[in-house]
Amino acid sequence: MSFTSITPARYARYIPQRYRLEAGSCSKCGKWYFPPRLRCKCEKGGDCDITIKALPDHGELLTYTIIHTPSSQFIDQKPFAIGIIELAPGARITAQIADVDFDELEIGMKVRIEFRLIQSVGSSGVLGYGYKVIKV
Amino acid sequence: MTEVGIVGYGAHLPKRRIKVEEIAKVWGADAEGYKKGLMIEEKSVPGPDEDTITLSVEAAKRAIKRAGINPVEIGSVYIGSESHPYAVKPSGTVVAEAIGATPECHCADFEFACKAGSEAMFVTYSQVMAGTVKYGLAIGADTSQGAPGDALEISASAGAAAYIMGAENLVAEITHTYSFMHDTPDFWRREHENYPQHAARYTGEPAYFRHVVGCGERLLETSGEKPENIQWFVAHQPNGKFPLRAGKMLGFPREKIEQGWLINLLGNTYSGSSPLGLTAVLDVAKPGDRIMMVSYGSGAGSDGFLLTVKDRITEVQNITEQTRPMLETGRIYLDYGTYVKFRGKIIRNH
Amino acid sequence: MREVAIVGIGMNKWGELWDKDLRDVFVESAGAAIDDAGVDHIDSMYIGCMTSGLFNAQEHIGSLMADYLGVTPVPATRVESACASGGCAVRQAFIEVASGMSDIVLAGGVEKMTDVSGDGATFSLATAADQEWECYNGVTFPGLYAMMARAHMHKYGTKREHFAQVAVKNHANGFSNPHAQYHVKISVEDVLKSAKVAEPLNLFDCSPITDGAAAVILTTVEKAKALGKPIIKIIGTGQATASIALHSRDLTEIEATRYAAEKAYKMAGKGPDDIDLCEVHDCFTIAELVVMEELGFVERGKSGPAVEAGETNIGGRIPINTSGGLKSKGHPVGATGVAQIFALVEQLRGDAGERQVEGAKVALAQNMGGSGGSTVCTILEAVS
Repeated sequence: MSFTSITPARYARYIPQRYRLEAGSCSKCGKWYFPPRLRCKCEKGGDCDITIKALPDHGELLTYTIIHTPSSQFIDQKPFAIGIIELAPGARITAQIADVDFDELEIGMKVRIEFRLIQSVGSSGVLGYGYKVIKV
Repeated sequence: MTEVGIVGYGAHLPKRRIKVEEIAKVWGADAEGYKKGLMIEEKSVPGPDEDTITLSVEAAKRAIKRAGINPVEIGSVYIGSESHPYAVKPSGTVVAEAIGATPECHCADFEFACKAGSEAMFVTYSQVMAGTVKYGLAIGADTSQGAPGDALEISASAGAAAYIMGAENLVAEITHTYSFMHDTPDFWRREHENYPQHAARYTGEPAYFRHVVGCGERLLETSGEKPENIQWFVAHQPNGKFPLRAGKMLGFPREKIEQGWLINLLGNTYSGSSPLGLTAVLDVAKPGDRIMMVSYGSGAGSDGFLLTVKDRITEVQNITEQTRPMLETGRIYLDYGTYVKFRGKIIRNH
Repeated sequence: MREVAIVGIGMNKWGELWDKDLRDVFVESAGAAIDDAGVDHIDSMYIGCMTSGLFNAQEHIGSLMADYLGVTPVPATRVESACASGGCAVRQAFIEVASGMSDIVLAGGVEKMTDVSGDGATFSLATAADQEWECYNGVTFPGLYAMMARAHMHKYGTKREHFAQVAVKNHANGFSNPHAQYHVKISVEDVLKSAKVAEPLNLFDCSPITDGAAAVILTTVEKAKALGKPIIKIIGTGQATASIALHSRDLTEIEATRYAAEKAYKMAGKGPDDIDLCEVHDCFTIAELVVMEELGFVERGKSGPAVEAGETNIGGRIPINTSGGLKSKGHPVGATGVAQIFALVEQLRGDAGERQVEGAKVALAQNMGGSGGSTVCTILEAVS
């Protein structure tokens, strides 16, 4: 059995999110949804009134780890740092922290988004691009 | 005639580097000899998560910032490279999506060895001149490979330079262009080969100098411009010596070449080479300065540009990353083993 | 609703079972439960299994197992909630008996993880996390829990030694559990020196890859009395959902566990102080610490010191994972939730041998999926 983590349709559907961090922002309660949702309950009552907006491209590191036993597509890059970053109140992403000295990692570190190659399906499959963060 | 030229420019370099000594020692080569002969000390190395596309996206974002435009107004995206990640599927579509220029956008990838980037610049400039696009994005970017143990391994490096061309709010007007080529087998790569081949000393006079100097001379002739009136000279940098010599032959002293001469710390970024040199010049140029850029692509040919820097440049130079600071700070040095791992030169099972 | 009791339990020895396939592993345990109950038929069956599709290329296992267990044509349904699949199966079985729909229902769980490579197992397990927004970017299961651990350490001063002590305790408990995958005692130093997996978690902070199954038979209290069995009632059950992505939740809490526990406590008319022992989902050592706080056994942030003080040892204030937990018993994903019930029933029957908690009467099992996106809490009471 072969294991493919990205297929063309699944990958391309979320290009606006992967490449441009387009999220849903509710004009009533200010809540962010990343990715945008079809249905969401608004804190101000009823359904959220969503407009599509890009998330801010910088934020703060809330937690992190250094992965030594990754999934097969990431084997060549181990060990690497990955963390949860808050880009806007309530808008958080899980992303690798690239080009960083592990000793410099700390909760509260300021980071910004950088466009990177995330993974690829072998040497002949689709290239999967997306977001990582770097220390600022 | 409408003034057409650069509205915004941007550069991006990977953070990793490898020193010449580190490569030379593995192959039993004379590091000092290489450093003296090529005038290179170290070169940039893309990480396993960096390629022509990712470098282009970051450079393009900086160009858009300096241009101060809404990316949706970009009518064309052309990327020139020798290391497009896909052989079939343009780098441009990913970049166009990443910057938000789709769906109304022309796009194609360019290829002409190291002058693919300057060709992208020329075509974009021409489209704006013709009025078919309002703003166009032209990028020269590469993550080129040199065969292990070959002299090209010492110099082949990675970087991207991006230009938004337009007809208003220019930071630099392109006043003259000239393109000069002959079919010249100095450097090539056949389909399915991993690494390019080069014709050693034939790559010098009959190839690089014939075209860079030939193009430069004709550009000066057709424009009626004199080197004394040109403040900055940027040429393609396959090694440190060639652009200095070509510049001298055209009448430019070293001081006019230094700012755009990045090779000693960057290596040869192929399609990014002269375009990156130009970004370094634009970072410090003053309104009214004249700049001459001559690219070179093996195969072979050169594209020459004469530019006049406009007042608006002082508003944008400092608003995002500049090229020399990126070149000189925040560097992460690799050993040869990590370098070949990152560059995929180790034989694996698939 | 009718009162429901557990009258039969069955489990095989867990480990890397190269000679047994998915069917064998399940049928062994389910058959043992039926024999233990002494019933001559079952009315229906629920099977918890996270992903026989990815591990064994086999779906449709409700019918498959009904066939191989010899109980067709009874209804059989596969239940899935990642690592909480087993607990969900038990809850579904409870509802079917309590509602009067059926009288005797088997709740089983199975996972056969060693048919695929290590990579294959990592990939399959990762499907319990958010594929597009967590896994795509490179995070692994240990990575998610490691991030939780680091946040807990940052907020409460929890130390790596605290995590390690959870593993030490669970290995000490599992040592005398005949069904456990591992029978080896370890020290805090062993844990701290073991290979790095996702910092700050090391190899011995993580539960293993295991083949195994477990099954329980549920029926009415009347029927249990008629069978002459000790009456072990399910007096409370709670299930809850939350975002499966860690970044959408509080980093040092597991709200699904909190909600499920609240529901179960309320239904049972009990509170944390009434619980004599507990089986919790220690997929990673940090999980046991956070869950202890969610179940109300300790104040927020105080789980580390509580473990250090021995409060969760056998003989302590609130023994946790006397079976050895996922850490030493093993974690065949879909089976774990059912095996927790197996362990608690053993204890409540007084059959736990060296691991017996004296006077055990009320017990709680907490089974969760992924990094905390789902939880099932089940409260059992032994009545004479």
